[in-house]
Amino acid sequence: MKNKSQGLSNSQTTVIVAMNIIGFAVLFIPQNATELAGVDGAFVTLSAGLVSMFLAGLIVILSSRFPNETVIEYSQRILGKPLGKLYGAVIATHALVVASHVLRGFADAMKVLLLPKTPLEIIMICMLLLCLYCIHGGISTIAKICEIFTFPILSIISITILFNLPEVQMFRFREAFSSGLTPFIKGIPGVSMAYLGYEILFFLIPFMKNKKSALLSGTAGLVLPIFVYTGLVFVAIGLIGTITTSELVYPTIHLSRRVGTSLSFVERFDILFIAFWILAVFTTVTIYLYMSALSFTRLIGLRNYKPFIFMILPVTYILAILPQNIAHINILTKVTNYTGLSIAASSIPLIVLSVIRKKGDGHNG
Amino acid sequence: MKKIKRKKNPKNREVIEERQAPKPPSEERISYSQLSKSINDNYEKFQAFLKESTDAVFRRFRLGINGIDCAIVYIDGLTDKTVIIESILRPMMLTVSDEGKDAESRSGTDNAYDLVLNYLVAAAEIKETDNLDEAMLSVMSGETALIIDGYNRIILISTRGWPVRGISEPETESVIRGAKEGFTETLRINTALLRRKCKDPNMVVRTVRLGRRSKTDIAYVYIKGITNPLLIEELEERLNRIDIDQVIDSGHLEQLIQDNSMTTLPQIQSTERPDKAVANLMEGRVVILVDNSPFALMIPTTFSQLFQSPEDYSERWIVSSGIRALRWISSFLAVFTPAVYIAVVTYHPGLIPTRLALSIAATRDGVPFPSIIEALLMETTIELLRESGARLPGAIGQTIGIVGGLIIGDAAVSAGITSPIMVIVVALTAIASFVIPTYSAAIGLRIMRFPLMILAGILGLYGVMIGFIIINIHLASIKSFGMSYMTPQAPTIFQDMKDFIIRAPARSMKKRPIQAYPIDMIRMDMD
Repeated sequence: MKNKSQGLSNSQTTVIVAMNIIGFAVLFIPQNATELAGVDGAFVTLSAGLVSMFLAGLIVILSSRFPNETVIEYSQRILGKPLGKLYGAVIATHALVVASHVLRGFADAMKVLLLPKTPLEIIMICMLLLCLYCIHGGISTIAKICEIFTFPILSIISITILFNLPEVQMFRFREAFSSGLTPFIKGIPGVSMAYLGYEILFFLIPFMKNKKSALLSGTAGLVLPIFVYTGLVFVAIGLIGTITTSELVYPTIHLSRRVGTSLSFVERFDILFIAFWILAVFTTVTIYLYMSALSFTRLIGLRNYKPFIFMILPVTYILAILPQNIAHINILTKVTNYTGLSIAASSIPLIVLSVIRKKGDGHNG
Repeated sequence: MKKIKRKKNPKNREVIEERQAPKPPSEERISYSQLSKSINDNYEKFQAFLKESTDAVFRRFRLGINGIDCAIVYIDGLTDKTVIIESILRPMMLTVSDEGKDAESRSGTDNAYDLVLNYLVAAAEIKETDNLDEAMLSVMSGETALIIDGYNRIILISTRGWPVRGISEPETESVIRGAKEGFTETLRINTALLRRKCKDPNMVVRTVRLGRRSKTDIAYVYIKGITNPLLIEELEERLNRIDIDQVIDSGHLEQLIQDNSMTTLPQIQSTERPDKAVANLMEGRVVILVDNSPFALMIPTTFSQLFQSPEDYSERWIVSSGIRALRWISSFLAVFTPAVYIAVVTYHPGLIPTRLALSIAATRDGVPFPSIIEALLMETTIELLRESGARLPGAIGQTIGIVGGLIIGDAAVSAGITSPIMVIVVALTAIASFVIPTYSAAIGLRIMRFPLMILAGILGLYGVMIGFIIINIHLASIKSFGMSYMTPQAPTIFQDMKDFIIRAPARSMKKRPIQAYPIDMIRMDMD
């Protein structure tokens, strides 16, 4: 039977964006924020989230000018063929590198926190095979998986935040804004990198059922991450303190471990947290891999992306296994973060150019 | 279908007609034939098929009025003999008097056929045919064929009557509060049960015959004006595609028309309860009844439906919601408990409170196997017990349960094969799986725990999560007649959440769920 409800619904778009953002960064966002902005971390996280929401809105506005095309096609119309293809290739490679980077970070965290004796390779290959299975079902399966996993992921993070909330000591926030607005503003770009993941909006519009409400549903995808990240940073600063938080590798795990002491049902809540966090990483890696496979396919001009997954998976695996130590990984983190941010910000010049060159939004052709 | 094509081919027809007549029918012969005017010819055609069968009855007699040769053919056991005697033989043979003459004059013709048809055969349901095939099929389904000399038409009189099982309480879906009648093996009784619950003339019962040899009647029922015509079209297309010699049961038909075979879960729900079937009709679903099967199929089906019981709607909504939630929790327990136990005991003992961890370690002290082997052993044993209990007659089944329970619960522990905690885990899993109201869903879910246990044994909680993700991707990717299996959770439909994990108050469910794409959404027009 022909499904009349084909295409992504509004809530599915929202959830895909949210689940793509919430992923690996959950583990270290308090460290990231306190390192960059000190006591102002929570406010910076909130502001960075709002800035990201604005960028996501711009991406939707740009994509809505070309409602039936992904960024790969319309960038070639805006920038011209060679430049547009280059831009598309950058996006595709970026998605691939981010996927492999998240995968590596995930495997490292798993090895430290859950399975000390299991080889990295096994952890990564299992995850990649899962992603393969999910991507094979197409965007509708990915969307449904995101919808299903939203509840468990959010509940485990909410429990971590809510159970720690009563113990937050407000005196730790005394020094907020003490050093003026400069570090506050300086911290925003750094923290907003944790919100990367809304680039998927470059691709979602053509798949949407109700394209007119894309702006609302797309930007709404950032509400959940803002809530989650700000909450985590706030609780971490109020509970552990700025200096300690900025020195922990996975401060969120530290927070979740404290839940176990107030909850006599499980001894170490952090193990449970990690288990559910796997779901968050899974959705992130899957969506990035999908994004990459789709981009490469469209770059070449084909429609069926499924054969490309099989080509991309080994590359992802090799890229993930390549870094030898944490220093390499940190370099990679910086590279992916800056390219991600610049890709997100590139929507501004693209919008300007498309308006000037009269492409899209009724000027098609 | 192949058979129809073969019929339409004129060459084939000739060949078949040549091979007809007195030759004994070979098994492959296709019984297409035109009837002749001579009673002897027609009689022989029937005999060619049926004379070897001892349950076929041939009876030749003469019409009382004018002595024309007649014959009846029927199958003993499928027919009601008093009807044959009282409505066919008695009026035809004994009407010699004025009555008959009167009848003859009234009909204004000496056409014996019309006379018999209109005045003599006193049966409620009559068909006429000039096709031996059709006549044969009718005879095989319990009708009586009446052949009259000089006419190439046969009168088929409905004399069906065979021993039927009475309407009894459904065993697989019992409820405490609710109707106690269940479907039976006879199609007509089943459709009547549906009609009695819904007197809307828009309720359409359409029948197709499937099975080249079994000619099983399959009725699909829907309500015009609620059910989406696209759904009916799709069903008809799938039914037409079937070319098989026998449809064994509705479960067999289910597998012939379902979307995805590579799954353990039913994509088409089956029920023994007419009230459930009618409730589904009202939601815009199509109910399929198969002759000889007391189970009706309902399409499309979503995963959440498998957790619904008719009783949920009879009890107050708070109670029902609690029970509904309990079912969902128990489904998780049935699938994940042994896997999580293995993962926790083997890889993450830190997860459980220290005292419990210590006591588990103490009870596991003398056990020679790793917990994964122990769990697989015990889970297999409980499945053995369950299966043997289901196959054995009631009294012995209970004995098996007691013996098995004792042996497993006590002796295995004292023999040091397993730890008491493992027995608790296994028992919990088994009990939890029996809470799920749909049997086929329960066995489908239960089987998932074996691969999950192995995953947990290899990768700990990561393995359990991998299993969880695989199950969810699988559930998200399958569809039942175009409807996503995980509706209303994915794609999220907030309106349908009213009848999901909680069951909202009856007055708040003003619209039908959109899970079956009904074309009329309004169910209730009151405050």
